[in-house]
Amino acid sequence: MKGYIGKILFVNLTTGHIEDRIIPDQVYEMLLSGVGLGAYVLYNEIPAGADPLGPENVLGFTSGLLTGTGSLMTGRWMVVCKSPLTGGWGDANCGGTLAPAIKQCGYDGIFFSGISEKPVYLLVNNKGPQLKDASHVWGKDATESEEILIAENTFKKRPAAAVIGTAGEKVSLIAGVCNDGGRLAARSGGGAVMGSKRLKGIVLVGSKPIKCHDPQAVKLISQAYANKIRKQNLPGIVKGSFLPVMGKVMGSMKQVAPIDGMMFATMMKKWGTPMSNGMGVTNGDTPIKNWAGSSKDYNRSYYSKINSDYVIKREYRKYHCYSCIVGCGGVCDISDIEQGKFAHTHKPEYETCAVFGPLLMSRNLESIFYINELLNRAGMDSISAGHAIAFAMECYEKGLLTLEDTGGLDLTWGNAGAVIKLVEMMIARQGLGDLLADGVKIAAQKLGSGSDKYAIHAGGQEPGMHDARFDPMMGVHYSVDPTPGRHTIGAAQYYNMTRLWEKVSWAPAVRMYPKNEEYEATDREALKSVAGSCYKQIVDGIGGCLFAQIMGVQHWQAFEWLNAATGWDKTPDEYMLIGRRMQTLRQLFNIKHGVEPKSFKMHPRMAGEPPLKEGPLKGRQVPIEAMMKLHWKHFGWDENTGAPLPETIQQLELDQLLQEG
Amino acid sequence: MNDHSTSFQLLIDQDKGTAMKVKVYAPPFLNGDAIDEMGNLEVPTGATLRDVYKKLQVPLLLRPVLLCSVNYEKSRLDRVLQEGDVISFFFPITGG
Repeated sequence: MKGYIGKILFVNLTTGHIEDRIIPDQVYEMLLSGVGLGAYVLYNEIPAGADPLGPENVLGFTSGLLTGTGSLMTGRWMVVCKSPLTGGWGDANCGGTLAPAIKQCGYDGIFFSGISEKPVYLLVNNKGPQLKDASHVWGKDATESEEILIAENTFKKRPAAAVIGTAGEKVSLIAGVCNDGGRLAARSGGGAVMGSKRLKGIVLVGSKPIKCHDPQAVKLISQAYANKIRKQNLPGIVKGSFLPVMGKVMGSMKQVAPIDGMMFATMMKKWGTPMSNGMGVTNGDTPIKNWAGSSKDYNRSYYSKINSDYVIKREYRKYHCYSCIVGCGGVCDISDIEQGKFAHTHKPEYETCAVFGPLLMSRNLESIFYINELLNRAGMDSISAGHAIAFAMECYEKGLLTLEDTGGLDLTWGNAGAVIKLVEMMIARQGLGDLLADGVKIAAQKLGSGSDKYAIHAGGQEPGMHDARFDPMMGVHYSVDPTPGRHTIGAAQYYNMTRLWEKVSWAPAVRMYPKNEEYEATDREALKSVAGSCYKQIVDGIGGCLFAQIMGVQHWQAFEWLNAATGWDKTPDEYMLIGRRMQTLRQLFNIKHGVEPKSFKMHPRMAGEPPLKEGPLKGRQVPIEAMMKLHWKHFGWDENTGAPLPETIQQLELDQLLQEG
Repeated sequence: MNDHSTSFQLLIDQDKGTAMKVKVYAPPFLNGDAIDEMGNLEVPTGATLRDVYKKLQVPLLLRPVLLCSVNYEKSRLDRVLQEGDVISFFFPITGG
């Protein structure tokens, strides 16, 4: 009764063999669950050099240690695999309803090796786990497939399901895994791995209880948190049009101060992530025109068209993930767009709005809603897809792609109609779309002619829509994390709001400081990025939500919940050591598979090389190599290569968990 | 309690040497010098939210539009603060 189940399901899709495996308590005490459990299984199961799209790769679905214990904002599930995009560790996570269902079926994780001869899905119900034919849904989009599989398997209880769309079936390397009608675990190319295994989905109907050590103590912490969240509401007079003005103020500030993360909830409740649509442009956070433009290009006449209020104007229902009390999601009416092809779509996230708005110089919000639904149904990562199109637009501008290459599409910046058509071509893998459907790194390799200058990525993964020249620590995490290019790992903004220093002895305390400090490669900044990285592993081990994390440890009390749920009585410092171990194991996975950490350094343009000539980030440059070295050093990794040092591996007792080979 | 009476009370408290700590999350355009690393601000016992505004040098013009809460609830400027109260100012961040 420690919050976790202590068991995983392992399925060999080549042979059809299915078995339960017991996971020792020691693994949970050393790595938690979620991503940590995934790293433990994948490190030991996948041989060095395995083809990410071959039978030796292992794909896993894991739940968080705190999922289902009564804690809040801990309902995210994770996909783990060897990533076909980076060649190294891959993971992605998503909200929705799948995470508790994994545990209710009696497992902390479900793992697949091998390749099935024909399309299948895994059903786990009261008859146990079984592989079933999925030919009838192969070729259908993710939303329709999920509806069919759920309808077929609903008797007393509605199942939870995760599926791939057609992008995953066609092994697009930027395909993700979907649940709840188009929510994606989008990154790392997990959908491509699933497609390569001919695994269409998993359908889970479990009713086993999720027990923990002290449910009452968990509940008390949850109540205190919920009571604060409930009170967080913005006055009606605060409109979306105010946000770009606030962004301008933010962008011009010479000083930074850690604010109360609870205030973040007020904005998330009202707008969800599209709160950043205009604000990000004016403060410099949003990359513009394939990271080469600024708010001088994407000016008010543009960003006013993607105003946060216009997004929620279409929202007719709020959407909460499992165990969430904020509800930043929503369902939007799009029945009047593109001849009513789709009735509704999940509210597009900021990432999708930004990548199909400012990054492409588009101000057509309707096209963004429509593309959002196209990609959700196809199961394709919107961040990567948008970057691929930005790459194509810049190549078109520079003459590396012609009208003949594009199939007659005029890929001028901002041409929303052409963007829609190109998205459809990517999903169908037709013409230029086929080139772009594997992400920008591979597209540039195939196109050649120096096009890699316009392929914005870190280690093969297209970056999130947060500019490293605005928040250099974001760039550090883009470049040092074993899953590069990820905007959800850490940033100065996140660190300042999370307030780890209130509970972790070695995390540097922050009060007001000059913004310029963020642009210096110092031991103090490196310690902050290391602390953020360790804590994020804990969050991904418990199934936590990033938005809860950045509300701060004084509010969202992960350490306290963990002790109450497990009965372990560990200090925050001891949990941070677990986070360090998890991150080091993910890095060791990459080393085992021949990935050079240095190769994950973000694209020079992202670090301000060359610097922007105007806008809030004018002249800003990030000394990224020096920052990467200091981050590695403070992690106990070789500061020149990024490989974990032998003494660090020993100190973290990782040798106890790892098998040779 | 009006401004005058607050100040009078503060003088008495300062004479007595009684002080308390409240936690303040202040945006960077306010005077954060008085706030320590743990975010605490020392004020005389009996201080009000208006006194905190003064200490943080909140510009008069901003006061009506600045969103501020005490213990995560809307509060009037004449609210008398208690030891350990949490004062949060709204300031946006970008994310998502």
